[in-house]
Amino acid sequence: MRARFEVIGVEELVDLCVNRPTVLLAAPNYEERSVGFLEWFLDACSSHSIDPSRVFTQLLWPQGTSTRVELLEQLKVTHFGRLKGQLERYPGWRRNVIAYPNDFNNREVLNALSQLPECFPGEPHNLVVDISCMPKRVLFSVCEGIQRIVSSADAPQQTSVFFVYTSPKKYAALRYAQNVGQVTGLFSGCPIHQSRSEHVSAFVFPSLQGYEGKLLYDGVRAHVSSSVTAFISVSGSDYHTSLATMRANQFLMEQRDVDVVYYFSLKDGLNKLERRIEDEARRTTGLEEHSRMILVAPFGPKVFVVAAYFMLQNMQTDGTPDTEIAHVGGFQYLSLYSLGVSDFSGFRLSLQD
Amino acid sequence: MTDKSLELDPGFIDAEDIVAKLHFLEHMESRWPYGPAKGFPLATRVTRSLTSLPREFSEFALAVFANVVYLPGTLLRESWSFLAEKTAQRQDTSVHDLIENCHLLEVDPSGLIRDFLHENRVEGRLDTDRFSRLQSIEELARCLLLLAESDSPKGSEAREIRLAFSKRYWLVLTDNVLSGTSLESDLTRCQRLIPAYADLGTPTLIPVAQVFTSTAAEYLPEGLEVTFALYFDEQFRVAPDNEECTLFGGKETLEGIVRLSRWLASQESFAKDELLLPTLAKSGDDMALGFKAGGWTIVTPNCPTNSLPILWYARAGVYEGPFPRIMSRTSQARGVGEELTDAAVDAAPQVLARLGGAD
Repeated sequence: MRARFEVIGVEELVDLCVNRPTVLLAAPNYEERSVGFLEWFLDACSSHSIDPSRVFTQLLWPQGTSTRVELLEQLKVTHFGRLKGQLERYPGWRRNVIAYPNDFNNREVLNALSQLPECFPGEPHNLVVDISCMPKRVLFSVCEGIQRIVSSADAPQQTSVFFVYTSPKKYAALRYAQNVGQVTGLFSGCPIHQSRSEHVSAFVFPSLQGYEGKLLYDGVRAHVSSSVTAFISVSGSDYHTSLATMRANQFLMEQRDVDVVYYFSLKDGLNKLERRIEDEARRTTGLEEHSRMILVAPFGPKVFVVAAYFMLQNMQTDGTPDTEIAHVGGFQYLSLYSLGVSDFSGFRLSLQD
Repeated sequence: MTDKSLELDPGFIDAEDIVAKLHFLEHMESRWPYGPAKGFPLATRVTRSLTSLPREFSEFALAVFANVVYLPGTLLRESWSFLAEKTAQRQDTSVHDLIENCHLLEVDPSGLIRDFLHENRVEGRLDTDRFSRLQSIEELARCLLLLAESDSPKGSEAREIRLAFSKRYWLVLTDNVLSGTSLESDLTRCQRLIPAYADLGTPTLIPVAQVFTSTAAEYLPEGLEVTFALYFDEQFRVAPDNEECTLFGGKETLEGIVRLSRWLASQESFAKDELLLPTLAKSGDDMALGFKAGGWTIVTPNCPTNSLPILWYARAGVYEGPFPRIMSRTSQARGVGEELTDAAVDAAPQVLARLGGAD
């Protein structure tokens, strides 16, 4: 089974929810966009006369522990309260909340996901995941859970999987990175520089902070041979943010051995990543298995975590090289991170034999 | 940068974040060089520009240079796959279907069609049964006139015309749509030709631009939506009292840059520059802020005239901007496009009769 990502308009997504029950999974936090899609979706369901009992909302509710910042907690509560108020206007709307600590154990998330198909037992349904503000490690667990669901025998007919990403109006001006960790692999849980692979082909989507790209570059260069491709976002309507990302990642872009690819939309980035990974897999065919690794470092928009997960799963199915998704732990939340709600982007996980 | 001190104000440099911005530009340029500068590093060119300006303008010039929107050719080329996808999506079709069913035209031909097809990995660019060689509206009009006027038109001309009009879409590709004048002119010509030759087919006209601006959006004919990769609005524009401009730290900087731009335009060498005269005439003003008062700080592989002349104007011994431009139009000869289009529209009955007969 191969997974592919297809763009779908959110209006079309709502149309698909008219005749098919829907499970909605989201992780509200202190960013306005974290509830932006949910609020829009609730209104859309109402205007499409969708029976509230045919929608089940599963919320992952982060409980701050060691990194609790009171002001941000207040914002979280405000957004969540607003959402609850809106949900209460639709009697019969089913919902469940899982609270999880920041240093979470992914079993809880996997457990919750494994139970989602039971929300509508035996009935074909949609699973819509709002990935906008899910922490990366949670999102990775969500991908694992979805992989298990869709791998079951009747999954393609039973569960249609969609992802939604909400862009903010703008990013906050100040983001001071604190407590920066090392680059680890989400599949293996091990630091990248400890990987046994001799050749590493890395595909990095740099963030607005920039430090992760530098850490990754250093980690990858420790191997016998390596290649790095940096995917730089060029936003058609917000060149200031693109410029800020480029400036933050100037070191990476300066390196002559880093290939730079510009992408102009999430879909364009997905297409270019898929093409580059396929080219790389072809280029390195014949090299001894496990001596090479294809590594995606999705430090930018969340959709690339999901896309990387399923693209790399495809490669593992094909039995080609070691694959890994890079993650840099850190605590950066001394600012709001993002402001406002801009566009919704929808993606369908299409499964082909 | 040089052994001659420019005596720059450190407070201004800090407030406008000039060190970081210029350093970033230097890196971009070292990796993707600005072709017309012929290998001179940016720092050298900036110093050269500053030393040829009156001292009172040094900081303002530096602020403009640091806030250049540098768009290298590789970035622009990579936009074609995105643009194909976006256009296909708008037409509710696939990229493959779009490309197989489109005739490609260019505004001011400069190899965009080749880049468009290469970036979209389209094999068979030169297949004459798939892609017509008529790559501009002017070539298309000329071909129609040949068909009308020649006693024995070649079969290839009839084939090219049939092929172009048989397509479902006409994609008009262009790099920069900053003022919108060139694109508007080509689109208007297409809009006149298509109905005149409706018997051959009525393709949908789709303008596709790498760079598009708010100024151009206001200028273009209604009802035609431009598909673009990069959009720049008033935030990126230098103009008197433009309160939306976000390029600079202070309003005084913007005002100083406008004064600097006016100073350059007032120089006799600029106002009477023979190479510039056709562009000045077409602009209809003194071009202090660039062609049609563009006021942009956009630098593409050949800096557009719509950007501030302080960036691109270069005459030895007078002033040399850091992004010298190779002028595309240097003669005052009027364009023949309008007359060609008129003639091609008038010739429609003969052409259609010939093509009908050739069937």
